Amino acid sequence: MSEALLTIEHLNAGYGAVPVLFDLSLTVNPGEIVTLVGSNGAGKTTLLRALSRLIPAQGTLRFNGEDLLPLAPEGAFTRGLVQVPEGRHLFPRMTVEENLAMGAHLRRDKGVAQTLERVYSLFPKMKERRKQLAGNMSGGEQQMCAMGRALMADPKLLMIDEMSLGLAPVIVDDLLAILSDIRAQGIPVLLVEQDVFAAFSVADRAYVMETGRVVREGLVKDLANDPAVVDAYLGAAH
Amino acid sequence: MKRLILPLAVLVALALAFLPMVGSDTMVQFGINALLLATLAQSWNILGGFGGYVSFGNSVFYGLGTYGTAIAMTNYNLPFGVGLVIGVILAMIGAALVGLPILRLRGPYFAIATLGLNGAMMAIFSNLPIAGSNIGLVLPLARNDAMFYELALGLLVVCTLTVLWISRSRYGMGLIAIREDEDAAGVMGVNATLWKVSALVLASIFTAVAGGIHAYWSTFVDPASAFDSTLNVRMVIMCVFGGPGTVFGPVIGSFVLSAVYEVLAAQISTAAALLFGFVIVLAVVFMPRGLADVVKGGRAISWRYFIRNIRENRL
Repeated sequence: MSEALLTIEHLNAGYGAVPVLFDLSLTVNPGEIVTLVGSNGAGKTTLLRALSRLIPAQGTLRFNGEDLLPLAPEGAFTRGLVQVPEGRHLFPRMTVEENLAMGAHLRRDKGVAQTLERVYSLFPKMKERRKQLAGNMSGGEQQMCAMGRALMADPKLLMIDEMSLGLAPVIVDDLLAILSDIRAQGIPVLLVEQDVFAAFSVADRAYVMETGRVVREGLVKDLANDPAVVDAYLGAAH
Repeated sequence: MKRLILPLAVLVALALAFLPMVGSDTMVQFGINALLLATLAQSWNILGGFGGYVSFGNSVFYGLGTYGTAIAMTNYNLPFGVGLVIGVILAMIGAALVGLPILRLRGPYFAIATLGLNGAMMAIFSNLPIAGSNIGLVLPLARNDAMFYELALGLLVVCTLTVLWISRSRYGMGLIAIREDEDAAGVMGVNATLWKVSALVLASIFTAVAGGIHAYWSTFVDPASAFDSTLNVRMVIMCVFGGPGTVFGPVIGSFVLSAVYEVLAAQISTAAALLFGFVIVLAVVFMPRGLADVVKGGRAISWRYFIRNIRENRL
């Protein structure tokens, strides 16, 4: 197999003197949907922050053949490591169209209009709502807009933090289907989720985190039958 | 309407350029003040209107511009132009030094931190022998109001063109993103610190030149008038009255408010400030998004617009 798109090895990171992530290793290969699951405080968001270079980290962090560690946040962003933040963080008083344009504001290539068409074809609802203020839309629509905005940056890897947060299950199903479409367009996804059941329904591989460490990893179909994972996250109903 | 605004602005600027040839001395003097105030409001608009950071420290850059010019001209007999450049450099250094630590604060905390700057600068300059300590400096006399008028007009035009560029550029989009949600802007690859500090430095340039022009025109500089926080309050009021984050709003807002103040001061002198406050209260109630928003509505504007503003803001 060729080199992974994202390689994390023996990563340690934290906030100031407080360590959060310990000796963490994770890879994402081209064309994959990888999910990172775990309960509150496991360090999932901290890992994304370290990847986006918002907090310092030690270890190996390689993306697309390049060392990420020395980069500033906008450096990681322009190299195609784009995050959909937890809680969406749209620009509420801007229209959907303006929000999408913000995603492409650092791009200097000619493909922006083409990407916009692609985003509209993935999210037809966003095309309908393009003149509406982002703050006036439902939670599911806002999540679509946030994902569309990230796609406008032409990412090489899309990282989504808590996609299902506060959304109705039927909306989550729609979004999961769109994740498959995004993968089909050649953009791998790193999905950080608390809703393990939803995440496992779409991902190829999964990592399970507990208190800053990866405790299980493997193919989703194997993990879904792992008694420890089933007990802790999927419940007896599964 | 939208296509008409730019040509109209060019026409108004050209017409204004001819005012010293036809207007009275009082008219020209009023014009100089109004143009300088408009420049101050417009440069405040760069970080305040587009970036959403309410600064009460912009009058410090005005003071640095006045003192830079005054010190260069009185102590070193340098020409006015060189004095202006020195003032601008002082202000830019001041803006960067102040901006880097203080722009880490957000919202009201940033505003509070900037409030102290005027007092600090006043104390420093009151004790600087090179700046004439408490007494201040007297600049060489130049009786040429027409020149000062054209300089002020030129400065306002350049400042407004800069804001026009900002409103259409990648840089301006980053500033607006910071205003709307700074965390989201960070996620979208905007280097917020660089954007904010550069906006403050950009604003300090125009503010300092306005200060330098005013210093040479009024021929006198002292700490109390150079670092005057009420001047900063006027920048904020004029910008917000006209429409923060718009290109022509702050200019129109300052012209209107300067005229209102002039009329009030001429008619009823002492109570003018009181009535001026009343006008501003009315403006906030009836057009909270500024004059520019009213004008944008064009002919569709009716009393309903004002009623709607009252309802939306639950007054």
